[in-house]
Amino acid sequence: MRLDHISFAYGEKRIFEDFSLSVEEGAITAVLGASGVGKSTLLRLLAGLSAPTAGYVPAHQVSYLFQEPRLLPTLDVLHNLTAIPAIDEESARHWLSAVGLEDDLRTYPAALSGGMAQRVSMARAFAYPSDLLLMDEPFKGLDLSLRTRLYDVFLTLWRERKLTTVLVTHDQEEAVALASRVVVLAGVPAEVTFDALVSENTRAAVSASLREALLQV
Amino acid sequence: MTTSSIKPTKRTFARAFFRRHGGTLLALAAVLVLLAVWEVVAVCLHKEYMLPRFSAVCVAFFRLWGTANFYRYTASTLLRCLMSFAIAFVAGALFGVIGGVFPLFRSALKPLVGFFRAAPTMGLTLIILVWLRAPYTPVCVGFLMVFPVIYTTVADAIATAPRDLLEMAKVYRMPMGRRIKTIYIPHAVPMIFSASGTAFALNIKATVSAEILAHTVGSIGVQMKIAASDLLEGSALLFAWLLVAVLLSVAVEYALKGVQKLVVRRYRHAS
Repeated sequence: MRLDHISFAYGEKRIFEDFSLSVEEGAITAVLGASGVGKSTLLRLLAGLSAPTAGYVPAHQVSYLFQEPRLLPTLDVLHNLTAIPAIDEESARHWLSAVGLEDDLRTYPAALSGGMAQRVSMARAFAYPSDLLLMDEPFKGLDLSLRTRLYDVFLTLWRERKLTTVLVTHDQEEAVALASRVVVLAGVPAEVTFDALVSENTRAAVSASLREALLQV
Repeated sequence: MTTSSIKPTKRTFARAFFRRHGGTLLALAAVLVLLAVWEVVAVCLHKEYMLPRFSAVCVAFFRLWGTANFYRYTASTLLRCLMSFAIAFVAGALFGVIGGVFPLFRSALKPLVGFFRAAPTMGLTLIILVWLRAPYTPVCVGFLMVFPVIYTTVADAIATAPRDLLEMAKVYRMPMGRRIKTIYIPHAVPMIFSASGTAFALNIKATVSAEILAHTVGSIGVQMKIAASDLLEGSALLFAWLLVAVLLSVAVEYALKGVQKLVVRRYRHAS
């Protein structure tokens, strides 16, 4: 999957200028960078929520894990998934069970904890028949133990579908723990200043050089 | 934890009671103080045509209840209010949806709606009285009071619908019907009911005023006019009719709150 020579600006501020990035299919690519560099904008462009002023963004059926769970408040957990026409009840039950919420199908979002709500959002993202998963700091603001548990839940689900995933995060440990490739964006307009593949053997080395790269941002 | 620490005491009951009903009790106390002040001022003033005693108003009020025409006049005014409210609600909601979706339409309608909001009710009534036959004037005036409130509320509700949920719905390709049912309506319903209470109170005020000016036969307004023309007998009857109008407004407001609870509960189960 490839973004080809895209440009995008918020008013006078140029976020991307002739920017290209390819993402490996069936892998998790983490995107890091300073606040306002254009990480979330990149996801919005990929999701079709914003349109580039120039260049080409391929059309995809997209799942999106937002920073907040974004659940419909008048629907219970099960119906939050089945309200989406592409998700049938069987699939919704399967993915909700996979995130450990099989006993909370009739619970309304107001009665869910932050972690539970984010798991519903995760189940929705995996139940939706998409070919691209976008994640915009979905674990931000959660405490460390909950975050670690959610990483496990996420990786279990992800291994079942092996979706092409773009993860935007500020957390370098999260990036090297979850992703198989790490990219750092910097500058105005944004450019890729760091790009490395992560494996079991290279994780420590990539983590160290990523820290260096982020310090220079 | 020991058993004694969780045992409810009279004090905890009293606290819980005040936490739940404190607002109502305070409002009731304020009404009682107001009525006491009224009674004292009326006794001191001793001019029945200016300010009758509250007890005299109560007597006149309950005497009204015994007359057959009381129900006819009250029902006729209430029916007029309900008619104008229903028409204005449907029109306001329809135009509000269009205004919420199309900002240009909203801008185009802004001066007209602003005019109806700001124009003095009496002035509008006199103009409508010239244009229409007297029986239709109160309904038309009521419509002009309610329409801007409902229109603005619906348009605002649509324009301020939660953007994050709308983005989610767009990403997951939810059809417009479901977006309306699960995002727009739940967001708009509390706003619309709250505005409806205000609009209905305005409607009763304007309708009764219009009935007075248009001399609408068989109405609370005309009964007030008749009572006011006989002030030498005291103004207790006029105050009693005023009380009827106020109670009508309060009753409808409570009824709307009840309907709102019912709608929210049923809506939650239905959707």
